[in-house]
Amino acid sequence: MENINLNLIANLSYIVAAALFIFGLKMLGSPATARKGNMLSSIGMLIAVVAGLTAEGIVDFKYIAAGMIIGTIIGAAAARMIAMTSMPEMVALFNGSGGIASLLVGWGTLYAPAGEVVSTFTAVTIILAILIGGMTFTGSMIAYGKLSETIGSWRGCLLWANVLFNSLLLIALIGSGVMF
Amino acid sequence: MELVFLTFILVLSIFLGFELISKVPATLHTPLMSGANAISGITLAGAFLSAGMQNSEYATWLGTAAVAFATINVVGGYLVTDRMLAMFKSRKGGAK
Repeated sequence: MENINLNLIANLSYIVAAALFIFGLKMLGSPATARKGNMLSSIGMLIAVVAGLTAEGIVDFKYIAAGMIIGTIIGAAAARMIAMTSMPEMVALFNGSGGIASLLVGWGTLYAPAGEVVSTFTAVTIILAILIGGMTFTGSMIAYGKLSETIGSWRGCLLWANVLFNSLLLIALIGSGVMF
Repeated sequence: MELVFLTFILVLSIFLGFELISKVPATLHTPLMSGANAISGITLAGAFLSAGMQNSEYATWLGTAAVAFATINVVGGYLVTDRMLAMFKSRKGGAK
């Protein structure tokens, strides 16, 4: 019973968070309210994160805490110290880190508990998460390189080789997904 | 049924995103992009599951890395957006 209530509260919190995201984005669209909108959206994120932590099946918080501490330190330090003029690069980097995070989530979901069958729908979702996450990551890295003017011609080639390699991986992935 | 519900949500959110973004002044495009990117850090909720369920050692390590990266995205994204907007505001105040 208690579990059901907790679940219900968590799910309702997600709806509240989603509403705050929408209002936040709306307010970000006009100069007078933009800062408040960002604040609202971050409050929504806080609610969603707390709700996410109560999810059923989480038995070990040690690694979550470690990951969050590392991420907070890196993210906060990077956001504080970066020069105002190199903001676009920073946003590209953050976007890339979000992309690789969803790639890793998709990848991690593949390791379902033994005996549990991954449904076709879940498998397709996982493949999409890995595909889009990987694309976001490589795309953002190239954007970062171009913005910070560190991509020379040979490094560009290297990145393209990387993309090609990823495409091959993707084809292999879809192939194995279909076979699966 | 799950497929129908999730597709329904996806379609609605596509419309919503389009409506929210379509009438924004050009000066706010960069902070808006940055703020919207911070929201994409909601993948953190999925990362928690992967990191905390102890399904297997691989899932735990991948999940931990995902938690770290998603947190960078969330914390960094909001702080950077706030810094941009703070500058925006003070510059506007100065002009007045």
